[in-house]
Amino acid sequence: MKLRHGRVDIVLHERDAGRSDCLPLLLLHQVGGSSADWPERDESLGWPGPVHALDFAGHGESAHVVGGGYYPEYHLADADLALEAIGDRAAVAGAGGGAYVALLLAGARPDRVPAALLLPGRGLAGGGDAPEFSELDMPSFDEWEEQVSADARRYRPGTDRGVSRCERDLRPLDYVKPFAEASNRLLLSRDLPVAEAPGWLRMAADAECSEMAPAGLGEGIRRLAKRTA
Amino acid sequence: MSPAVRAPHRICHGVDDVECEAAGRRGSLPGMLPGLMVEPIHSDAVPPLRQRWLAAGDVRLRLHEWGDPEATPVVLCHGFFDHARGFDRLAPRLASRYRVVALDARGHGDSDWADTYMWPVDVLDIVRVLRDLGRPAHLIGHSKGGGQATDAATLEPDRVRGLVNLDGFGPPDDQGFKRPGAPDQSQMTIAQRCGEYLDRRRKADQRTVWPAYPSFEDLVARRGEQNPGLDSEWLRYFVYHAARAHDDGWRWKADPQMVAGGFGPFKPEWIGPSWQQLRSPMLAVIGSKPDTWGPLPEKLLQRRLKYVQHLERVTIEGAGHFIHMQEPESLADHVLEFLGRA
Repeated sequence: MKLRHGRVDIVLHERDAGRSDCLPLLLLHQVGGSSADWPERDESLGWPGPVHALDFAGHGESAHVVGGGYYPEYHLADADLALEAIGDRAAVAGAGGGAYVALLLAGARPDRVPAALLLPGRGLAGGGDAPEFSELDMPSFDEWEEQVSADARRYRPGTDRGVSRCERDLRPLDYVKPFAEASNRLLLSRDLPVAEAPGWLRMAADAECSEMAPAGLGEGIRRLAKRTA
Repeated sequence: MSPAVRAPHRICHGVDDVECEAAGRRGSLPGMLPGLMVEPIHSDAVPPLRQRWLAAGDVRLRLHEWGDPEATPVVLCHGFFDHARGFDRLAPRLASRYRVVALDARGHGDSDWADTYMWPVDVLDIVRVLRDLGRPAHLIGHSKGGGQATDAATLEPDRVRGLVNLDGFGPPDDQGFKRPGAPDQSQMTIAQRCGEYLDRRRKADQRTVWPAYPSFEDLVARRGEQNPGLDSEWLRYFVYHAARAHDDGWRWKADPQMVAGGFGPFKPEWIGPSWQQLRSPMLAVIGSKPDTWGPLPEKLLQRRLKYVQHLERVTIEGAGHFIHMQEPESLADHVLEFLGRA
């Protein structure tokens, strides 16, 4: 299904029709990945309802953003349009940068997202908890170009290299906290490196609505299904 | 001081083929009607002598130039929803001594539209202009362009000599500048405000093209409501270059997608500390007459400027936020004196 975000066409894939009386699941991939990152249902996804996988702008089959101004909250709006398209109520699972977006979506749309599962993946850390004013938090022109080129080599072919910005965005704790607190339920996969994790993830883990989910994608999704049944 | 050069008055709309194509591609706009009205003249404004494109990835930026191409460059950066031709009164006054290059920011004026807008990308566009010039330049920015010019100077200290910031010291610490009639969000959490941002983005696909104003005068009246401090002769001139005529009326050139805005963790109180690496001397300029967009309260302004190592300040009598449009003569005197030493 094609969705229109401003002038950008983004693509939402229906991976499994599932039982129509069950809550849909929205899958959000890692930075530089795509909807093709997720296994087919019969491999490990045990979600009873419809399963939809989004290609964020600049990824997979979605169009590139002219001008390259990618940031997590722009992808958040991609995800919110997908949420609207599948009935405006869904559980969300996100990997890496997609996990951060899943947390933001769960906190900004608590009336529509009963639970979110956070999984490891590229773009999980972000660019730190606060700007470092002693050295500018923005890389110089040349440094930026170098970083982007290095990042882009690890992305799926066809990914817009500009999405690399979403690996270095600031995620301050006092910014993340209200999202974590507003969420209904956050499930953190045991695969996440919570102990040495970026601050935003520790913040999410500390929220009252948080709990650990079993390791592995399939087990995590099953726990998510149980919690939203 | 009188402007150094007066260009012949061009008849009709200054849109070339490339621009028409760009507008069509970026905004799916209907075809434009040529020759609807005669370009307004302003007794004190001088159109640029040269115009050219500069590539910034897949977006083209429009540059407008005055003065000797061999002279030391001065780069001018306009504010939000303005455009480079807003400098048509200041630029010619600087052009007697400098090569003056005014940049249309992406999404504004005659530059291409992008699909998203974010502060660091605008800053890198200014850096691109500096790199393109190939020699150290002075940098002048107004409002948002002032903040971005300051960030560009902080980022590329070897490319920037003197820096003039025209009332571009960021919004107040709490909720930013308040437009009249804007909803009060002070009681909302950041997550709730983010929900409102998402509501705006859901509607953003309906804002890819401006509604057309039936006549040019309607457009002038609209901008006049927002900027009561600008006189009518200047408003007509400024608005003419901010809009294009189409077969069903007049539309702003600026990208309507910018209205939906962005969202993120940025805090205005970061602005002051982020300038502690600035090496260029800064002339910080405000107007004497407060209006919607500035100046900041003096205490806050001092906090924002606290880390600037080489700071000079001036207040232009009779000007509000749009200093270069309201008091270009007095401003140019201060700027020329400052840049002469920078």
